[in-house]
Amino acid sequence: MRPTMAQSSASDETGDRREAAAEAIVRDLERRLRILESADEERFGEFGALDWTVSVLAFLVAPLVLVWWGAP
Amino acid sequence: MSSPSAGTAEIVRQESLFGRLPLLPEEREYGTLGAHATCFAYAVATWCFMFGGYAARLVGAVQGTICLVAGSVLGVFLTTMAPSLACQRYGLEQIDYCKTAFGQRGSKIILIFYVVNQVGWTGLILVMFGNGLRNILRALGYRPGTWVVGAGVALGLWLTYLLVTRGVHLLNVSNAFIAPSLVVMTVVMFTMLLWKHGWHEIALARPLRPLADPWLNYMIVFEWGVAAGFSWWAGVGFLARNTGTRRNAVYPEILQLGLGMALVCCVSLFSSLVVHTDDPTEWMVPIGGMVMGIMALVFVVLANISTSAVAIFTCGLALRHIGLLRSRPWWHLVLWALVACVPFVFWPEQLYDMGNAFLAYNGTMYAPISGILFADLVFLRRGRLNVWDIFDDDPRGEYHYSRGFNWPALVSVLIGEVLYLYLFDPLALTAHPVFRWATASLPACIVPGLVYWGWMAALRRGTPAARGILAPAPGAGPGAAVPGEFALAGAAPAPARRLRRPNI
Repeated sequence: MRPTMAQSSASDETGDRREAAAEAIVRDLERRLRILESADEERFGEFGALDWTVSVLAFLVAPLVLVWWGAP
Repeated sequence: MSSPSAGTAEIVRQESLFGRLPLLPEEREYGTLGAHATCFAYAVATWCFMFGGYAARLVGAVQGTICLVAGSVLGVFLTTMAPSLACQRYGLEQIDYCKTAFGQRGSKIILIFYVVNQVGWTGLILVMFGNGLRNILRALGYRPGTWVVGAGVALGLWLTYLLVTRGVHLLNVSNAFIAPSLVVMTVVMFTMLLWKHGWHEIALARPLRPLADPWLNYMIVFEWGVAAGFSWWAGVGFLARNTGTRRNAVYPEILQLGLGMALVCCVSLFSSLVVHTDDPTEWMVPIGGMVMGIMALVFVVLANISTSAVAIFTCGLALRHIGLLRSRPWWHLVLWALVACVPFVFWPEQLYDMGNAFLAYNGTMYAPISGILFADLVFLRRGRLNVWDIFDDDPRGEYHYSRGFNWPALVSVLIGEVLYLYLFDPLALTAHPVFRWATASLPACIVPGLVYWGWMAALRRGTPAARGILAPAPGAGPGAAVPGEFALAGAAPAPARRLRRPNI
C-alpha cells in the first residue's frame, strides 16, 4: 500500500530529525575527542612506577606465593 | 511538544550517558569511595554463591578459601590493568577500546565472546532463580515437580525483560536496594553458620565430590578462581571510564571485584561444605532456619532477577556495535539477548550442572584477550592510544589493519584457546601435567600476549606500512608517553581534525 501524503511528510520529518541527530552526535564526538586528546595528563591522575610495583607484588606475586604455601 | 533542536540535544545526552560517546572528565561519576562502593555492589552478586558451591565439590574450607581469594585477585589483576588504564584515560567503552588491538571489525569477534558471556551467566542465574522458587515451595510443604525450575526460568526471562525495557532508572533503584541487602544477608548467614557449626566443623568438613588426586582438586579450584577473576573482563571498562583518576580505576576493581567477590564466595563454600550441597538455594533453610532461610531464599530469588537485568542491559548496549542492530529499538536488542537464554527453560538442570565448565570457558576466552590487550597497551603503545581512529572507519585509520582485522591479535587469541584446552579439559576435569603447577588460564594469558608482542614488534621492524600500525598518525597523539607511567608528558595541542568515516 502506498503511503499517504501525510504519512510521507511525517516520514521525511522523522528521517530529517534522525539525520540531524546523527550529525549532532558526530559533532559532539569530535568535540570530546579534541578535549580528551589535548587534556592535561595530571587531570587523569597518576599511575607510576610505585603503583606498578605495588600492584605486581600484591596482586600477582602474593597470590602465587599464597597458593604455593597452601598447597596440599 | 519539544522542538527539533531540543530533541537532538536529548539524543546526544542519551548517547553520552548510555551509548558509546567517550566520557569527559567532568562527566564521570565515581570518586574513590564511589568507585569502591560501585565495584563492591557489582562484586556481591548471586553468582558468588554459585562459585562457592562449585569449589565445595573438590576442596575443603581452608584450601578453597586460599584458591578463591588468590585466584580471583590474580585473575582480576591480569584482566583489569589494560582496559582500566585505557578506558579511564580516554573515557572509552570496552569494545571500542578493543579496536586498538583487534581492529575495527576484529573487535566484533570479541563482541561475540562478550555476548556469550553475558547470556550464559544470565541463563545460569535464572536457573538459580528457578531452583530458588522450587525450594521456597518445598520449605512451605509443597512437593513441586522439576518442571517448576524451567517455568521459573521462563518467568525470570519475562521479569528481566520488563526490568530492562522499563529503563535504567528502575534498574538503578532495584540495584540500590538489592546490593546492600545482599551484603546484609551474606553477613547474617555467615554469622549463623559460625554460631551453629563453628569454625572447627567448617574446616573439617569434607568436599562433596572430590577427584582422587588432592593436588589436582586444589589446582582446579585455583583455576576456577582465576577464571572467575577473568569473568570481570566484560565489566571493567564500563566502571573505569566512569572514574576520575587512574588509581580509582585500578585499585577498587582489583580489591572489590577480586578480593570482595572471593570473600562472598567463601561464605557459600563454607555453607555448601557443612550442608553437603552445592546448590546455594538448598543450604539457606538448613543454615538460617525456616523463617530466616525462606527470607534469604526470597531475597536471593529477587537478586537473581536484578543481576540478570544488569547482564542483559550491558549485553543490549554491546549489541549496538553491530551495524544492523544499531538503529533498532531498545526492546528489540533486549529480546534478541533473552531469546538466546531460552534453552535454559527446557534443560535447566543439565545446563546448570555445566556451570563450572562455563566458568572455565571465561578463562578460555578472556585470558588470551587480557594478555594481548596488556601487551598491546603496555609494551607496544606505552599507554598511548590514537583515540580519533577508534571512531573512524576510514581504511587509512591506524586501527583498520587488514580490512578491519588485526590478524596477529586474532591468531594469538586462537593460540591461547587451543593452549587452554590442551592443558585442561573443563568438562571432563582432566589435565596435562603442566596444569598441575601452571594452571591453564595463566599460560593462556601469558603465551598469546608474548606471541602478539613478538609478532607486532617484528612487523614494526618490517615494512613502512607495518610501522604505521604502531605509529600514531600525525597529529593524532598529543605527545610521547613516559614508559611505564601512562603519562603524556609535554603534551602539545593537536591540530584541528575531523573524522573521515565516523563509526559512532
